Amino acid sequence: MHPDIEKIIKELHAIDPTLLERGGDIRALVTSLLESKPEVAIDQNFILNLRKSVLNRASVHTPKSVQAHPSRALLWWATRLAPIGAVALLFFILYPTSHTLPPAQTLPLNTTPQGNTTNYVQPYQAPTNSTRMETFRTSAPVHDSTATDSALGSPTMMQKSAPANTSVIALDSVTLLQPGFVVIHVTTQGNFGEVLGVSPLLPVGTTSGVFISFTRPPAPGESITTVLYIDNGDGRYTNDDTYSIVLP
Amino acid sequence: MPTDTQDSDCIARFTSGDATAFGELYDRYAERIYRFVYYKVFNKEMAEDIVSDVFFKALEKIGSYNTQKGPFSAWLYRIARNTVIDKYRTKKPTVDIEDFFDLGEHERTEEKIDARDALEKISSYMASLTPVQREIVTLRVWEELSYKEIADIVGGTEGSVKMAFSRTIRDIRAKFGPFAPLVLAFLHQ
Repeated sequence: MHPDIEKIIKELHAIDPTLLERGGDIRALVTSLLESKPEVAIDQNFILNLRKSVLNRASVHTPKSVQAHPSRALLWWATRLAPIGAVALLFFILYPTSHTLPPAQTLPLNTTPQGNTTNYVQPYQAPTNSTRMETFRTSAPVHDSTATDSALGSPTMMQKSAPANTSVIALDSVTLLQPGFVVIHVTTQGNFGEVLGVSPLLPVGTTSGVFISFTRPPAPGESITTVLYIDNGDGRYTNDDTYSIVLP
Repeated sequence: MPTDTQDSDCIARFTSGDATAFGELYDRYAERIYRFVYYKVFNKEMAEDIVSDVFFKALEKIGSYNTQKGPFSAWLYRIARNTVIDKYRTKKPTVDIEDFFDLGEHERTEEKIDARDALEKISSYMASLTPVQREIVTLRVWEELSYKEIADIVGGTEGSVKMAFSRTIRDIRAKFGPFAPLVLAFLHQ
């Protein structure tokens, strides 16, 4: 008797007990099925030759197989690093640099006004007779004139160490919703200190080529902060003017 | 019987760069897949051709095999099943077939049927079944796979496969009557 007959009979009984009501038929049927199993003569040469072919291809297909051969390793790394390198290169080409540019170079930054709620300050290519110090950019929205310092963020975040021997700041353009001034403060321990420079009163709209002359060059290591002030109506920068935004 | 863990270990080693690990998988399943294919095509050359395709496809697609979707063995059997279907669709594009049995006697004149005797013995018997029934019977009775393994291959649950197997046996008895075993015994002679 085939050893699996009882096993299959038990299974069928568990699945459908009514199936085995006429148990003899089913037992004989299962026996016939088992004994009908065709003999399969497997050609062992075929099995071995196929194994060789499969393993040959497997040795090429394994993810790390390229590392076993130097030129393949290079190709493997090259194909994977090339896209990363391309993206990095693109990033450095397109990412605007805002520091230590040569005087004649125009900063690539441009920020586009968005509706009527944003002030912009854009760097400007300084005339050759001016000393370029720093460039500024912001796309921060204008704040209500009653906004508090905390709403604008900590001025200390905007501090910069001023390069020595700086006499002029050149801004590409300034776009305002209200008349105001761009003021350069010395910053000490997070507090706005001495005013080093004040722009002329800038009107509503866009003013190109804003120059701010320093009353004195910043001392080496001195921190400065650029602040946008909204004019209180008298046309002069005074302490009564409300600062609107600290520029980065 | 190889375990899922053994197969998963081999796959992990292969994807980590050990090409010989695929050889272990091949050694485990080559003959099983050959028999599975042979029970469908009953032709040595065709079976060898299909089995070769199966393992090259498995090698190519092993990166997409997901252990969470089922055991490797079931995945490999499914590749084999689909490769048989594709092979016959290539040969007989107008015929919707699942396996060799669906071709009918007059369609098989081009192939050399090595197991003609064996085929004739069970032909009328198995030809009365649907392709899925036939597959379940051969996988359970001839390949000795568990119901769970069969379910992973043909789809469905273990319970549905058990019911299908039980109904198939009932259908055979119903079609051939109480003399079904005698018919088979006669065909064996």
